[in-house]
Amino acid sequence: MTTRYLLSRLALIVPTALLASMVVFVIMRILPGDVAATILSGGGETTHSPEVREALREELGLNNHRLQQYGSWLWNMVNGQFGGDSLVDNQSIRSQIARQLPVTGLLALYTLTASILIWVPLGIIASWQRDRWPDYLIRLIALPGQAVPSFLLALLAILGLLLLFGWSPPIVYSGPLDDPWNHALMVFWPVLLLTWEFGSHIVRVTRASMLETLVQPYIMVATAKGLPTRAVLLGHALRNALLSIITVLGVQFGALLGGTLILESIFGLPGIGRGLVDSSLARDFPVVQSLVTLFVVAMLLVNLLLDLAYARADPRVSFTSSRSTAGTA
Amino acid sequence: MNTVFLRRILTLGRDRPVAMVAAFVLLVIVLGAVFAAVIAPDDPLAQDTPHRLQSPGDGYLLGSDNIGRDVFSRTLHGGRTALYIALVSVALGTAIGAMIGLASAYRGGWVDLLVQRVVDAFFGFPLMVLAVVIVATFGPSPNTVIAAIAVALAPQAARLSRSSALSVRASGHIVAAHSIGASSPRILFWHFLPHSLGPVLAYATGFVTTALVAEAALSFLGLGVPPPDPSWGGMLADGREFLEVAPWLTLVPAIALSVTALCFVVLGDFLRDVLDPTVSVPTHESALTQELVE
Repeated sequence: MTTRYLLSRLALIVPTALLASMVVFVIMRILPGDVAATILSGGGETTHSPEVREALREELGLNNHRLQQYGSWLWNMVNGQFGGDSLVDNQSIRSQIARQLPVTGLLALYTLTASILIWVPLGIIASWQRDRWPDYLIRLIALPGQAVPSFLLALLAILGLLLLFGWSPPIVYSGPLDDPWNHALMVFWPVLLLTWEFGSHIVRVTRASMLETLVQPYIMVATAKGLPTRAVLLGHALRNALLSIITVLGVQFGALLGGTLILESIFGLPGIGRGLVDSSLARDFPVVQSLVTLFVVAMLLVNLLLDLAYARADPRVSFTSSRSTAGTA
Repeated sequence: MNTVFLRRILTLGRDRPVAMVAAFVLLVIVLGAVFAAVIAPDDPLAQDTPHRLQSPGDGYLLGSDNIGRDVFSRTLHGGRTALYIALVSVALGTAIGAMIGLASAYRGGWVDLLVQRVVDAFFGFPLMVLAVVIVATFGPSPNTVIAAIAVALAPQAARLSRSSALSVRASGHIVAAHSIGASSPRILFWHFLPHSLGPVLAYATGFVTTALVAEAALSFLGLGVPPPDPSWGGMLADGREFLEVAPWLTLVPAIALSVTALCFVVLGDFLRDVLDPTVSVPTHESALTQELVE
């Protein structure tokens, strides 16, 4: 049954991803605004001859019929080429993605793991110690994560480290297997800041839904029959609070990806987010198109995984019901 | 209705002093932005190269930057740009989104289904990613940033107004309006819109924070307000190279941005309590819907 559910969910991703790719395509190629002109003026040439622009339009395939353009781009995306070559250095986008995807993937993975491992327990403690100092302390720690944008925190962190310790993060990235220490030093700060921002939402939702669960009669029964506090909190209350936590993980994942976009640029991590920013600055139009589509597909896949987790956590969610009904449970 | 409404604001103001402080601080910021040209002691673009990187105090209230421009004047003018972009983009995005959401809920059927799928597809784009695409295509300028943020916010407003419209779709006064033969636009504007206006306005105030931060982030990355025009994000980017010798270049716009953003967050929460009677008591549900909309 789960396999069937998984297949049907996967099948649902396809139209949404197609629709999203059309959105990208419409923005980049159909809306008024000559991409060729933008590319040329971005290169510092203020006056470019019509012939040059025409040649570029030809090279980009902008003179073909739009459906044909869309079709060939889509084919290029799915046949493993990820949309062809970069305009700037003629490297294949495929090799760029192979290089950059692990960096962003690891960043997101570290952040998700750290957020769940650190902030969910803190949320439980806050609800358990409601209106006592641990609760206030935890909420106080979470506050800047909600109120101050992570790129500001990043700048302030770098400033603080520099002024207090005369230390700044390493500049050259290395993979976790090549040079684990350098890798750890490099990703520590961005992951800390992303976890702060991402986790502040988790702690708020965990605390709120735990508080709501803790007043239920069955919690009183569990306590009355002499179960240890830990068993009541983790076995009975958390089980129900889990649904809201999973929902907020999905909702905030987009913000997490947006955060990697900026933090990768600040901390010099060669990931997809920085690749997107750099290619945007360079008007490297095929790369932008491919990377954005990749971001959207990543969002969809993560939401699928969370849906599966949702169905796992809540036996009431039948495998046939859609997420929209599950989300309001 | 008006006296009740006023009294409600007054009581909330007494109960929620933080919101009142935020409103006051915001008033000062808005006045500073509006009258930036009058208050600013210097031209934000004027370079005074002999006095580069002056520390705050002597000659320059908040110091000068790496090419001798007055940081205070630039912060004021940057605030003007930030507020202009944030408010216009939120107004545009919310208005378009709310209209789409209302029409979608009102028509129902396949129109609703189609609109919701498109909204879903837009939800797949993180705001920053969508904004970067739009700016990459049309080139960085304040208007592009406005369009980018508006497009990113519209689906959220659409979802919000749709759900609040759905909740009143079957209610008596809508049925009554239908039965006396009111036209579709009339029902949309006079019967649906007032119901959604409160929640949408409250959330729109929260959207301003999102827009402010997005604009600053885009300008910081070089994809927003093009230099040399002053913007907080651009100032942060300029200040990065001089963190050690001139930390005020980073601190001043950072504080300006976070204080403004924080004020809009607090004010948004406050407005949500005043304008949306269903969430006047902070419940689990309101916390969660807030999470969902953010």
